[in-house]
Amino acid sequence: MADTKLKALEQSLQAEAEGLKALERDGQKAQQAQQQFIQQQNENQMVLKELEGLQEDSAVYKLIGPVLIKQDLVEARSNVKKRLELISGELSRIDSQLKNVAKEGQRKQQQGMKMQQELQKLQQANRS
Amino acid sequence: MTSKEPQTVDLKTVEPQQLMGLRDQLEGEMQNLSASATALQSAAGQFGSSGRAIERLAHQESGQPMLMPLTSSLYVPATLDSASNVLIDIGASYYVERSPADGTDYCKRKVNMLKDQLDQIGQVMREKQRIMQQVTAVLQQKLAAQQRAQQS
Repeated sequence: MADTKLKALEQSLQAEAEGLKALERDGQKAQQAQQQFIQQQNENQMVLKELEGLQEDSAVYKLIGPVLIKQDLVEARSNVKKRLELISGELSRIDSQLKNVAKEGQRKQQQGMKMQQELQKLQQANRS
Repeated sequence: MTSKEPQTVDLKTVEPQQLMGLRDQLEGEMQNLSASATALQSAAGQFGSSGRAIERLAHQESGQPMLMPLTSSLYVPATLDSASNVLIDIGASYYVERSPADGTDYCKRKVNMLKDQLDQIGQVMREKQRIMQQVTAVLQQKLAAQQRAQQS
């Protein structure tokens, strides 16, 4: 009777540990994505600053594949602005994701510790 | 958790094991910083040489014969069409046509920006170096004390 209980507890503890690991992997992936978006944000901010400093009749090109395609300056500015909005949207999404992962991780850790204590109690009871 | 120790922690009260962890962490941070510094330095060098190239180009007249590099070792004869405009890569695959003066100005601004960032990184690195020296010193004291305690 006690044995089956012990086994079940061990199994759920293992499942919990695996869940925690998966969660950590998710967190790392999110962090990498965050880094990438921050980099893109920096680059686009610099580009926007350059574009805003240009005179209205300046020629702007965009590299699409191997060719440079002439762009309307006003359009280029609004495109970069749109990109920046998109990036900051992604960044806030990742931010909340990371917060969730941290919260969930804490919860899982606490639960795992509780389970471990229970397991130890059971093991001691079995021995005596 | 090996998150950053607050500044107020007295290193002498920290366990040697933790000190070692802290030292390794600092070492990693220093390596990252010096890699960034190297990257910034090379970027600054490239902007500098681009700026100088524009300056030299601006002094040439159109129709000037020259050799165009197709690869690093193959050149073909060409004539300079015009040196009144240069195309600047401002990032995110956008390019802008500007006068050579604007081009050199752009490169100089970039170089200055990178130099500022390098200065900042240098400051952080000096600070980390200082902390690391302290940590290492305390760690050595602790290890020596441990050894003495074991021998006696």
